[in-house]
Amino acid sequence: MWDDQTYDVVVVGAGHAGCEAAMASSFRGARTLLLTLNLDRIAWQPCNPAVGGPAKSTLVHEVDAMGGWIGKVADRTYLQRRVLNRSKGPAVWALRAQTDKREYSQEMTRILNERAQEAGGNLDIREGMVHDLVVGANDEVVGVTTYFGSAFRSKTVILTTGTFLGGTIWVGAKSMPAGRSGELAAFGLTETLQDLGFETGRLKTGTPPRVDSRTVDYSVMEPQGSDPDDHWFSFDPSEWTPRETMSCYLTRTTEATHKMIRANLHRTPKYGGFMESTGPRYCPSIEDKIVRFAERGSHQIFIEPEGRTIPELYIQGFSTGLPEDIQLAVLRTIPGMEKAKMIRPAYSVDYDYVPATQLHSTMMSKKCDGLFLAGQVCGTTGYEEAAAQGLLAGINASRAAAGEDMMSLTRESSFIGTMVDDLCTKELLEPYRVLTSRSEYRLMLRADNADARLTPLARSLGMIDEARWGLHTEKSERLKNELARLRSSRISGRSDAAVILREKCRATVRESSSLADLLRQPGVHYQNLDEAGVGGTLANTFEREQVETELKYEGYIRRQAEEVKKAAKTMSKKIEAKLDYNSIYGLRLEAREKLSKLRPETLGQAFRMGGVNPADITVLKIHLEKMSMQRKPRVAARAEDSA
Amino acid sequence: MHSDASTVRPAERGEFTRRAFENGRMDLTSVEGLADLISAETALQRKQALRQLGGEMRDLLEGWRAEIKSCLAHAEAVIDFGDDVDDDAFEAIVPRVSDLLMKMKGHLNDGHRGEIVRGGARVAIVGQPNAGKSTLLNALAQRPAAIVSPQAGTTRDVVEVHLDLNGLAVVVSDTAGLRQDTADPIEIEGMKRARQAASNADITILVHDASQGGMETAIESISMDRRGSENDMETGTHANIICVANKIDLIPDSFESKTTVRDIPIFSTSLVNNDGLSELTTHLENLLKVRLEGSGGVGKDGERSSKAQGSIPVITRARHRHHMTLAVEALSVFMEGRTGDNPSLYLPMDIATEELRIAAKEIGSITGIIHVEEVLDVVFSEFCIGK
Repeated sequence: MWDDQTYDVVVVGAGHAGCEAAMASSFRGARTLLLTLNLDRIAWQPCNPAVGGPAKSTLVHEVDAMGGWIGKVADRTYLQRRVLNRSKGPAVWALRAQTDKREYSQEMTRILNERAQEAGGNLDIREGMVHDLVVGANDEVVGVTTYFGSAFRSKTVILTTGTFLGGTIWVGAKSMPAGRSGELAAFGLTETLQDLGFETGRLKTGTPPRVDSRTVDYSVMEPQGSDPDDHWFSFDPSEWTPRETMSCYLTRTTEATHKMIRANLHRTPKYGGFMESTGPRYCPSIEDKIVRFAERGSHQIFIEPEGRTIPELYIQGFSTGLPEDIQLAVLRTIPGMEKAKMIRPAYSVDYDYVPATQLHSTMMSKKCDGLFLAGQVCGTTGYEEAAAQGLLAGINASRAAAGEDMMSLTRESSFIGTMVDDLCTKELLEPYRVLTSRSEYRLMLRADNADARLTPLARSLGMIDEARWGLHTEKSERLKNELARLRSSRISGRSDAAVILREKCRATVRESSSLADLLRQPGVHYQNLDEAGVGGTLANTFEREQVETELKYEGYIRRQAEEVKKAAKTMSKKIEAKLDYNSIYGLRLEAREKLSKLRPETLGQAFRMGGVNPADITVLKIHLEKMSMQRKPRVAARAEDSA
Repeated sequence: MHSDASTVRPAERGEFTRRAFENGRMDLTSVEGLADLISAETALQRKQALRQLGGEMRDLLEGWRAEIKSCLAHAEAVIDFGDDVDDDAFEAIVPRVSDLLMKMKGHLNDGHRGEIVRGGARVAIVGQPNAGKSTLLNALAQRPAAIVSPQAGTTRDVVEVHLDLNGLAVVVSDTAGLRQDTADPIEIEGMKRARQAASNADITILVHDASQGGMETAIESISMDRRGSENDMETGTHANIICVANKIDLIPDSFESKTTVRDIPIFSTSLVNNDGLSELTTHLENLLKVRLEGSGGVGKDGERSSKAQGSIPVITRARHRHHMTLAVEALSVFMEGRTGDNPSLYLPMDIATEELRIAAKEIGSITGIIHVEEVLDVVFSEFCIGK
């Protein structure tokens, strides 16, 4: 009993990936259905209610630059904001915002409903547990069915099931099937995917305990206020409305904490030996930290509010596999938490994921035409990683439904492209988190220039409306003019401005120095130009920082751009999907197996896969060149001894 | 097992070496070492090639790269995990980078010994026309390599002869004579090339007709020509010039000849009679040995002193020098950017870290561990590498 509607796109799951996917596909005019297990938990933040941080913030800026929503919602619901890595250079500055988890969910829900109500909004939202995929004769997607028997026809399906596929949560040695604490896990879909020939794996992650804010003594903790700096995730100035902020707090573990944890190690899943899978290395449990860094007498614990009207505190740095009663006893050894009441215990969750090496860089699966996957089900962690994949999947599913070519982002274009390329080419040992060190083009892929890098592309993909495009072109023009002015305006070594600059920031001013040359000096910042009376007319801090960085990093950026150009010719060479690797003379056996399994789309993807060495790449390159030569008729066909 | 003509074929040029490289049995420097071994002509070339083939160079380079990678890991941790890893971890790598930079600079500052051994030391013979330059060349070569005649200006272009001078590969260039009073464009061009050969050479031999006088002016002029030559950076210009006062048979016995001018040794010879030639050859050999075997010099029994052992020439090709220089440059920028008394003028960490990435990439390019594809084609097309 099919629903009478035929959809272009069905999105399964309304987390951070699902919401972006549904918003993107409906905006592009595709009839979209968003199906979720629980309509009251849309865009929920089950772990730390925070957005951004190193590299993650760049993803958020990029999603925003492409017409996505995570940045706007974070800007509308933040409680506290900081620019991290301030002293480490503009390429790695990272905005991080603590958000109100309830407001965040409500705001995203409101945005979706607004879209659904719009005339021509193209969006339906329903509750339902997708139980099965319906596929056609060639394993192409035809639709989905739900547990209670609804069936929806669709040209494409995007699975964004997070930790819900076969999810099990653990507190100490106790476990129960659940996608998140208090929410049902989803069953059936894993088997469907396996029947279709997908390989699935299992990953584990976790979240620390929540403590009642009314039982904590903040007076002995170090407050961490919001940064006064005017930084935002969205490039849209209409989103920049400052909010009243709340402080986070810093405290530390004590010798008593460590002693108690050591005494109870046998009751944790890892050290007690009753759970084999380990969590991500970048998110170690407190017991792991104490065992591995035994020489450290104390570890930082950040106390973060979860909302204005929620008395819950997130205890960052205190992930643990300890049983519930010991969790509380250990918490009370931490200064300021002696009388703490625990509201929710820390728990771990392990869940099925679908290794993304089975996906094209468009997020569509290689096995089933029309089936897309995005978010944590692909093996990532983080709302930002999920949102970015959701956006890409939403754009491409709507394009596929309309019979248009799909698009993918290169590593050098963005952190989104870097992440997707990593996911498509590397096998995971732990949930994947984006890091600035994962990009070889880090100096180019900054937060400040995300719009310059991606908004024109997004515009051509139909993701940017007239108003936003107008703002973008005006800003680009302003930056271009200001850069030109800085390069051409010179000040004399005897001018007042020169005196001020020497005094303020030890600038070296020659006979005649261009403002651009001055700004390139390490001690000189844009604000110093303002102070010396030679500043320009840029609209805000963002823009001033951007021109300064562009100039200071010019040489490095040019170098990276040249590297990109050099590599692009070889690395973007396409490999046909049906290439028979066994017929290529000179490839090592391991490489043949790996290439046949992962079927890279380009030489670059093959290059970055594990198990394929540079020499295999050379062999493959020569083979591809030979093939393209043979296709040209003017080259006489030579007798190949391939027999 | 059976085989017939359809399943076997002769190996292609360099195929076995290529496979060894492809399967990770050899790195690029070892492959180059093998190529050098095959084309080695002298004992020292063979020795150097064998060491490179044995992986001595790879081990050294990989050690450096591992050190940079370790520093890089610390830097990246400070950037990506600032909540957990504080800035001290970044400061802690500065002395490590400094140590590594010193080591690498030491190897770069090797007087080009490895390249000289591999390509042969360049010795240029210069001097006024008809001083006996070509006669000296022929005497060194022990065969008539250059045409000699009593007529001034017989040699028009540079004539090169490859010699094995007691185990050392040497390329001796005979050049056109230098004089002021000529309008012949061919001769002028020849003289230009002679000057060039003199300044590019590792060692310049000035041959002067002792019966003509004016030797000090000639020495002065040759020193000028070599001024600023990269080859003299370590040793100083004068150490690489030898002066030959030829045709002493034409001057009276009573003539008191000098043995040095401005520390430059003067050998009195009569080349047509082979007089004084063996002293000259011995001196040239010793000079080359010191240049090629490091500042530690050569012991009496010809064995390397321990100091020389310590400074193995890493660099045997321009390709190595190119990448090493870029790596050293990157580490120098890092050091300049992260030291000094005013931290507000430091390079930001993201840029400083980029310099470490660049250095690691450049060293990797030498051994072929990364970015191998550009150099691979050159290596395998340029050399016929052992089957």
